[in-house]
Amino acid sequence: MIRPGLITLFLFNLSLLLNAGQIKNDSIKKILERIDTRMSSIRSVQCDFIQEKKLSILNKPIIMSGKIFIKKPGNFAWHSVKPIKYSFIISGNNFKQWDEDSNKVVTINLNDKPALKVIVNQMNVWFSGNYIKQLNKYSITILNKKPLMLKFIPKLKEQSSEFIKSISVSFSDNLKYISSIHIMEKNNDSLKIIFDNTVLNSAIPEGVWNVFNGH
Amino acid sequence: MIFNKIFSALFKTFQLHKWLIVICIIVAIILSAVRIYHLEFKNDVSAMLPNNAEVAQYFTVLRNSNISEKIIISFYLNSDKHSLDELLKNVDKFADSLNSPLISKIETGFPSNSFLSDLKNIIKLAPQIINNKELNKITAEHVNISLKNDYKKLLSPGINFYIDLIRLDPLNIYSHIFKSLDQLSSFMNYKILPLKNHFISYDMKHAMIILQTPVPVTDSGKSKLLINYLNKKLHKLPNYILPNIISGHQHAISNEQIIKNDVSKILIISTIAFLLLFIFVLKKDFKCLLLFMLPVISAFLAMALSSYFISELAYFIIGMGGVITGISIDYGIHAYIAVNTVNNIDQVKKVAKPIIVGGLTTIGIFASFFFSDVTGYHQLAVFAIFSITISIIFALLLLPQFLKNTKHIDINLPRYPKLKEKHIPPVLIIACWLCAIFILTFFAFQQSIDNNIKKLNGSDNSIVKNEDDFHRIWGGSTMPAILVTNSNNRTQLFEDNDKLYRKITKAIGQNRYYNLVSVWPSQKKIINNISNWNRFWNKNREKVKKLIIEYSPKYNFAPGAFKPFFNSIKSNYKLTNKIGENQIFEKLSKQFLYERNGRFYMLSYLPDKKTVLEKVKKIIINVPNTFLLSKKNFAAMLSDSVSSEIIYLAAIAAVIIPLLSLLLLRNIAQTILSLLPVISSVIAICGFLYLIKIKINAPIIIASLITVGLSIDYGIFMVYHSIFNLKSGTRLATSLSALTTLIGAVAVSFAKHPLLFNIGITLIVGVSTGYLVSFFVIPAIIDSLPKLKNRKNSILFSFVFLIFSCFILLGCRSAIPFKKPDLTPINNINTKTVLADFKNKLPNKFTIVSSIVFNYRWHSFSCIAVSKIDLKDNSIIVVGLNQMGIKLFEIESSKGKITNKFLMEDFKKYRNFPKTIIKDINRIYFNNIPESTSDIKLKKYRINFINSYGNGKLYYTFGGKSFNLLNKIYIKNNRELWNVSFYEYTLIDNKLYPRGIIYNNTESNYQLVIRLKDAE
Repeated sequence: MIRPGLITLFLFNLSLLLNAGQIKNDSIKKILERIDTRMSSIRSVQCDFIQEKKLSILNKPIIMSGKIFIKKPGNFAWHSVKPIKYSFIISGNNFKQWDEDSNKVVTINLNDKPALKVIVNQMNVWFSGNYIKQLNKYSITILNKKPLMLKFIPKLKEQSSEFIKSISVSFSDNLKYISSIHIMEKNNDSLKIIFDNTVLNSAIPEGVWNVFNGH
Repeated sequence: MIFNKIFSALFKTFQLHKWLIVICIIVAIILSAVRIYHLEFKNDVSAMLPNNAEVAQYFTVLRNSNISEKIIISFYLNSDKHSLDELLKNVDKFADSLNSPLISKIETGFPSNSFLSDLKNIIKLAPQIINNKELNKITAEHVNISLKNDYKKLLSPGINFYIDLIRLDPLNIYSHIFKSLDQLSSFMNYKILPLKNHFISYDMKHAMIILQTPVPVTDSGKSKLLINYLNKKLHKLPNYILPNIISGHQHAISNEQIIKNDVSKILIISTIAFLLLFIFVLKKDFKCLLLFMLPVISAFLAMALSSYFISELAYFIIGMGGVITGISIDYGIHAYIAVNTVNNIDQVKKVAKPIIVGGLTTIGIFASFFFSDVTGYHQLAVFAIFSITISIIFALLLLPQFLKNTKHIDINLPRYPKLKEKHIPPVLIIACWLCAIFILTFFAFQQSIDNNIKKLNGSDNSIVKNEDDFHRIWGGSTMPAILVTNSNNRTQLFEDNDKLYRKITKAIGQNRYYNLVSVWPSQKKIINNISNWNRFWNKNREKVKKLIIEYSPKYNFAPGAFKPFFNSIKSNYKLTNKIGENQIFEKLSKQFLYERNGRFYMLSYLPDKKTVLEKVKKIIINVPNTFLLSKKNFAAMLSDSVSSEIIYLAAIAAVIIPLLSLLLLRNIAQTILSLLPVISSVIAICGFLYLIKIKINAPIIIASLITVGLSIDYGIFMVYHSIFNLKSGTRLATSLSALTTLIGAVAVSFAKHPLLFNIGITLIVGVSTGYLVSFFVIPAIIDSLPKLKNRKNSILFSFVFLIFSCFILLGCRSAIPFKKPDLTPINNINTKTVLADFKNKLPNKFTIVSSIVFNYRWHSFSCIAVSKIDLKDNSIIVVGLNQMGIKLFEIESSKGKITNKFLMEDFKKYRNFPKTIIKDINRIYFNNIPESTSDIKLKKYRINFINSYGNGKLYYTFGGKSFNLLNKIYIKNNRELWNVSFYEYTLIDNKLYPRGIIYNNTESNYQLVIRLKDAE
């Protein structure tokens, strides 16, 4: 069974993006403020994703695909269909996960998994476009201006610097959502998620909030 | 005559040298002040608890195991504008700033370099920890499943920290160690995140540090220094960080502060009340100020004197100082009033005898405290005896010397004769008193014992609230039960725990038992594990490698994926790195292992649940130097101890008071009359406190005994006054005595500290009752029996009193601790069906766990018994344990043959003990179905069956809704030899068991009260 702890790590790394720290460069600060402003108008997001994991432990990369749904405040659904059907849903303090292989639903109260809760909270902050004040632990550089691509490098004092080399994030043209994330690890493993077919502020079918029905 | 001569001689000596004596007293006061200034007072709740082995064991373990001498500081990040890192930075800064001998150690977090390096360090020790069972599970199937699970882990979204763990442990063979370590870290149910080398709360808003201190929680002086020091340092924290100190030391300080405040409050209230008394009752006679000064001086001198007999006086003694002063002022009042009534100092000689008799009975009461197990009572007794003795000397010999030419006092009190003038007949007073006594007796028998020692803690509410807040954030509010094993030899201790761990985890499950040996086995086992490890990997290394290589492609694993695992597997492992040298294990072990006075103690933890404890108790029966500490059991044990204390002290008081009174009064009727206020006040205390929902606890027992001492004084004075018609102002003196004591008691009842408050309330009820009975009932009885001095009337009165006492005692005896059965009328019942139904419901072979209270004369002893009974085979195995799980006896009986398997040394002197136990069990559980040839008698609510049994007859009574056996009585030669009563029948696994059994052996005059705890 897939451990919730691993999902935590995923979310944690996403959140690292938001924690990008002290901003020396005014232009980056302005850009981030602009992202904040744009994202604040987003109430819901739904998109397809393709995740590619390159791990030295494996012969071939693992490619996963599926859908993500986000509804403010506090609802997040991840439904992957390949290579296995797997879902997790966060709703308030409730975390549910299911996988086709075990066909069991595991429910976790986020109050009992504090690390996960903090990450979920930070994720909400990120999608709310209200993360600039938290970004004080990473050096941020602009890789590309159009479309905007930022690179976050954890500062040495941060624990994440032990295993993360860099995180690159690409934004949509209108800066309202993220189009891709690329995490490079210290051991040369990497993770890339591409978000596609993004729909903003549209009604999300109720069924996606059920771990079984999301597929 | 002799008494008068001695007293006159002493009185004359004091008269001649009164100023010299005064100078001596002043010198003594100065010396006492110096002595008291240097005294160290102790604030320890255990001083107020029975000092028996179990209680001592409980507190000793708590103290020695470092659980109590820790200070925890929780830091709350009270701002969203600041990060957790800032909080941790400040916590570290605070920890670095601590530099005091009051703090011996600071822990800010779990020692950790990095997750991976920690794992690697632990894995290095694996050959010592992993046993054969774990290794033998490595089969081809296990390899396949493990690799599949590893692959599934990698499919999860995001990156995986666990990749390194998968590389190190693809077959999950080390997981047992990680699981056990995780379990051991959470044995106290604390919710702690070991993050960033700190202790972090689940809400990520709190950080915690743990300080070790050499300051005992009972040392309030150093506790204050310590807490002040910490507060001063905490004050420097930024205002967005709110600290919360959790420590027993705060309770010590708070208790001291509250007692000090209470004492000030008591002093202010007492002073105002005494001032009013002085102005309005004593007509501003300045000499009467001596009355108030002398007992205070007595208490002061007594405290200094007591310190030579008691190493560390309890704070509670200071609190009781006021009460003792209230008692000792009485003697001065009697002397003062006697002198003032006729303005003649020689008048004091007339009241000397009742004053000394009253004083000696009160001293007798306090002397009885020495028979108690509570050290706090001993301290109180020493202090009170000194204080009262000095007060009596002052009152009779010194005070009158300064009372010449005092104002004549004539006060109109509401005297009993005035009631008579108002045509209130004495019989009515007696009738009202009897009514009140009977009503209060009814309530008194509903009273119960309060075993919550937390109620003796008077700490400020804010401390309790802070603790609640702390537990809400960090957990740990429920304390587990502790299994303590000890040995002179550390190696042996680990070996004993290895065995215990195996047995206990088998009985209660691995997840419920936290023992260090789960990750740190004994040396013997370590050597064995290493040998197994080397043997296994020598034989299987290549085989396992092949299996991994075979299954890896199936799950997409690269060829070198598990190189770290193979690097960790060494088939020639040697014991170089010891477990104790690892930082994580070393730190962890401190919670489980300690050494005191050359003896090693291992603490292991398990849930404090009845079912779990029963199972563990069965396992540790045969293990020496092992005992179980359960907070819940401790409460029950404490309740039993306090009950025993009450019975014991009450019995002693019941013997001492009448004996002393009789010895000094030399008249049975007068003695009985003097005792009426005593009996009445005890009944009133129990009954009234029940009505106001206060349960009996240790302070109430003390206060009750003090009340007994005072009431006997009032009784003796009023009997003397009424019979001998003394013109020495006894009525006024008694009233003033009661009033002064009541002033003290009312002042004490304003105290915030629960200990003092309980004492205050008890004294108010007891003293009021004692006074009212002395003042009204005694004269009324004397009036009703005008010729009480007549021998015939005296005997008649004694007889009536004895009947009254028997009535009260019978009421006492009828207090059965079980619910009586609801009886239903018998209509058209088939007795054969009743017996058949009952027989079907009874178990034939059963094991029961019960608590047994053995009552013999004034002694009471309790134990837990595990009995295995087979009615068909006529076999019994019974094992007796004390509340701590220590085995007292094990006796087996099979078809009449009794085998004594184990008997504790104390029981060996009772040769017939095994035989008696088996005989009693036989009488209780065997032959519970009457024979079919029995004589049957149908009554309105009961069916009686009568069988011949031995040389006598056995009477069975059936009744209740289901017509179960209610009791069995055995009568031989028209004499009842024993009886058994059964209560509260319950069905367990469809079999019927009585929850309560009372067995009375009238032949040997003892009683067993048996409470069923478990049956199978």
